[in-house]
Amino acid sequence: MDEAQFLALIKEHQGIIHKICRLYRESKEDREDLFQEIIFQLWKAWPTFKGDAKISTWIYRIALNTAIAVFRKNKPNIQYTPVLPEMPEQEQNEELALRQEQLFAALKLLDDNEKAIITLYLEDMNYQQIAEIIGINENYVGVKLNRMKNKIQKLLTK
Amino acid sequence: MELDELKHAWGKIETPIKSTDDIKLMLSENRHPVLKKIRMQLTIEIIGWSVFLICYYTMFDGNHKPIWINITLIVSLLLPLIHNLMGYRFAKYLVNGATIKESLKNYLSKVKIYATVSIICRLFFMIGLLLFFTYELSFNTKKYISFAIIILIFLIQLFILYRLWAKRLNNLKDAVTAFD
Repeated sequence: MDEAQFLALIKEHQGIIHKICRLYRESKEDREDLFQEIIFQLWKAWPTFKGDAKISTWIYRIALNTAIAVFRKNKPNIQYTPVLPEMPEQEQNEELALRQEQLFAALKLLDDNEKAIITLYLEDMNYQQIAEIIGINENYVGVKLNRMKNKIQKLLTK
Repeated sequence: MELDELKHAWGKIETPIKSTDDIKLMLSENRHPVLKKIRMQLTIEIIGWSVFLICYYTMFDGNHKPIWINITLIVSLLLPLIHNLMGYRFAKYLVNGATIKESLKNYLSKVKIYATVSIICRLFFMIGLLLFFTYELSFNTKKYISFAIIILIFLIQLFILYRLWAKRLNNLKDAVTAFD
């Protein structure tokens, strides 16, 4: 497959990458850098994509791998207030916007590995799919998800 | 909020939209934020040390010192440069396996080796410089103090480098073990 096909697929699925960047990085600048790094890694890995898996599954694997592996800049740990600075300027349903803010605030308290598992879960992947992408067994996915669900629900009901 | 609502909220998140041209630019190494910085650092180092190597033989009395001292100096300067060039290639490939866990494990092994060589290269670089500039130097109290200060600065630099790599390695190790 050529560059044009790659670009078309990434353009179509770029929402996945934006969500991961928002989850793993605090500042807009860091998210931009991570977005670019993920696109670059996807392009480097493109020749190995054989089409056995869905393109979205492949993007999730590379993007989450990159978000965890890439070295972060040393910056002071500033407390994050959940706002949506780079959202398109469209009026959103207020209730939905509030839910999204709550969701991201809670998810950001998880560690990098938990974020990867919960992201795949929120994308409606089943335990087997999550296990295959991460490289762990299904039981472990179940155990981890149950712990995280409780943790998130506690955070959201506070 | 129930988990089904969470899924709903996640699915409805609106994200920015990048144009095809913007994405295309990101495929280029020249636009890559980390690789750009490494290239800049490499260029400055290569130019700086090339100038030094051209001038040192006459300017710093390399012609009056034994050949093994000269060779040690040249090798100690070239090793970190070669290592940085390898680092450029290393930074290009973060994905090293078919699953996230396998990839992180393989990447961790590579980073361990890279970090060790990085510290050894820096140590060798410092020894090379010290050997060259102190060979057959007649020491007095002032020179001893200066020598001690230089060694202290070098040791602090080494410690900072060690801490930097230790922190990176620990973060990666934590990520790998969290999946065990």
